[in-house]
Amino acid sequence: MKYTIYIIEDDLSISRLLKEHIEKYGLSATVAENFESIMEEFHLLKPHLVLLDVNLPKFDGFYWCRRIRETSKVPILFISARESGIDQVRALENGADDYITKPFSYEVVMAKINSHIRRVFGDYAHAIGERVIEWEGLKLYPERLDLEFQGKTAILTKKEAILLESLIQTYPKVVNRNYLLEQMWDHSDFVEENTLNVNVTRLRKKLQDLDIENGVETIRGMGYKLNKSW
Amino acid sequence: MSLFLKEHKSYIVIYYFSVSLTTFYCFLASDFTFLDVLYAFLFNSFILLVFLGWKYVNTKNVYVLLDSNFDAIEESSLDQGDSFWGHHISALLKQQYRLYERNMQQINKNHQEHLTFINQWVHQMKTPLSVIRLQLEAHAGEPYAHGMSEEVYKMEKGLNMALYYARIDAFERDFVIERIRLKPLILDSISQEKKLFIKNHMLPKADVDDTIEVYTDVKWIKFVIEQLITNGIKYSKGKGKYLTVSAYKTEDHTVLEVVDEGIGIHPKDIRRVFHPFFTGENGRILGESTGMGLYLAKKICENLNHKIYIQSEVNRGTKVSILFEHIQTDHN
Repeated sequence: MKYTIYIIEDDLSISRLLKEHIEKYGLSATVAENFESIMEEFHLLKPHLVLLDVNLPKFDGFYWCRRIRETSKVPILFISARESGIDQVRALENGADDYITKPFSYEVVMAKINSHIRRVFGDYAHAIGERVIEWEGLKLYPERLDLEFQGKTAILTKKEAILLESLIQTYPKVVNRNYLLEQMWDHSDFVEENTLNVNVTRLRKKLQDLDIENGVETIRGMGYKLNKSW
Repeated sequence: MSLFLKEHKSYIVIYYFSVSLTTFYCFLASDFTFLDVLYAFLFNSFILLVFLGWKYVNTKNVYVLLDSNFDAIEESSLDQGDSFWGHHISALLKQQYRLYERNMQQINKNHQEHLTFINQWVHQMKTPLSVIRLQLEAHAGEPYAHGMSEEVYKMEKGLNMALYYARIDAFERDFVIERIRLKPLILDSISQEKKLFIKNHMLPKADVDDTIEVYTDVKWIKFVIEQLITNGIKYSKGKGKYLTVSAYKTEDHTVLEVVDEGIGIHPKDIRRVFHPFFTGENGRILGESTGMGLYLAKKICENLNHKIYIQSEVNRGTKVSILFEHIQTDHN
């Protein structure tokens, strides 16, 4: 079952980027084109979730939210540059389920889409499968914190997984040190430069256990990059 | 009364002068006795007194008005009675007030237009920033993309500042006082600024008891805390390694403190740091100051009924404290 997301946003760049990103996760996404016949399109599409901007040509998002609510209980998430409490309250009063403020990141949008789909349609696993990051025979499961390579498995810590994921995603380019620190920085666990060094060392060790020698290369003054040594 | 007498002094003098002159003439010309003179004198005095009395009662409003200070501009347009002066002065003041009001309306309208423009403009800028940010995410971690995302972050901060500034006038319509726990709020604010901490090789310390609660508006107070954290980091560059955010209870208040170990504020500057556009010595050294951060922080705190204090020692660091009212706990 493929879930459909209906994106009602008049900024073409944002809607395109959102569509591409949502589709990467195996969902289907449709961008509204005609802002006068939103309801017709909505009934044709029968989306499982609606992303709705507040400022739209003709009628605003609050209006469309009310119109959709007349006939449907589909989850509606607002995306807006307005972050005042009043706008958020207004959105919720008009029947929205959640409110995301611009500038937002993919992470936040995907997390919210997920949580709403899971709540309404129940089956989380079907919405988005378990994430697997594959690279040259390496398989990283960020949720399970498992790393597989040629039949062997290593168990990573959360920080090591974040580190490896960033390195894989940026390969073959160098990953900036500060970026890694930002990624590892937890809500209540503030990381120091040393923490990064320690985690890199430990990740190297775990790669070694999988017979990968010299997997992480240090680029002085810049950061780290993966080294395909097999 | 004294004003009234002062105004009519010359009338009284000229009146008695002419009465005296007339009676003197009569005295010389005819067989006026002293009693006749006295009678004429008293009779005329009586007439004068009645006239002045009537006039005073009639125009009393005007004299009270002339003798008073206004507390509000609206008071000047009150009716000043039906006397000659009362009538004319009321008309004049009313006209003045109308002109003044028209002027004020124009100024207010311009001000509102200006704020609306800033508001719209900030929101307009946020969409392109979102696009830039999303596109950068595709290159996350690459050194050049990282540098760019830091600049984008600065722009977001700047826009936010403009937005809060434009909004502070409409404060009454935009705040919700809730009972909240300080710890998550502080951790959130620290996380929000993690880029800045990492970039400046600094570490936050959060020293907050989990149970401390205050009454405040989350959105506004978060803006204030983030502002204080940003300042703390900015003025600790290369000097202090730690920024401490702590909260504790004293007898009278719940206190939230942001303490840095940075360059500190010169004593001659410290009284003015809450003034708008004031950047002082440190602003000159570091640049990139708008002088608005602490000003907004102070205004927001005033609006929320919190007190804010700043203490600093050059080269030792700065401590900003926000004092919240205690939450009344009911002991049943």
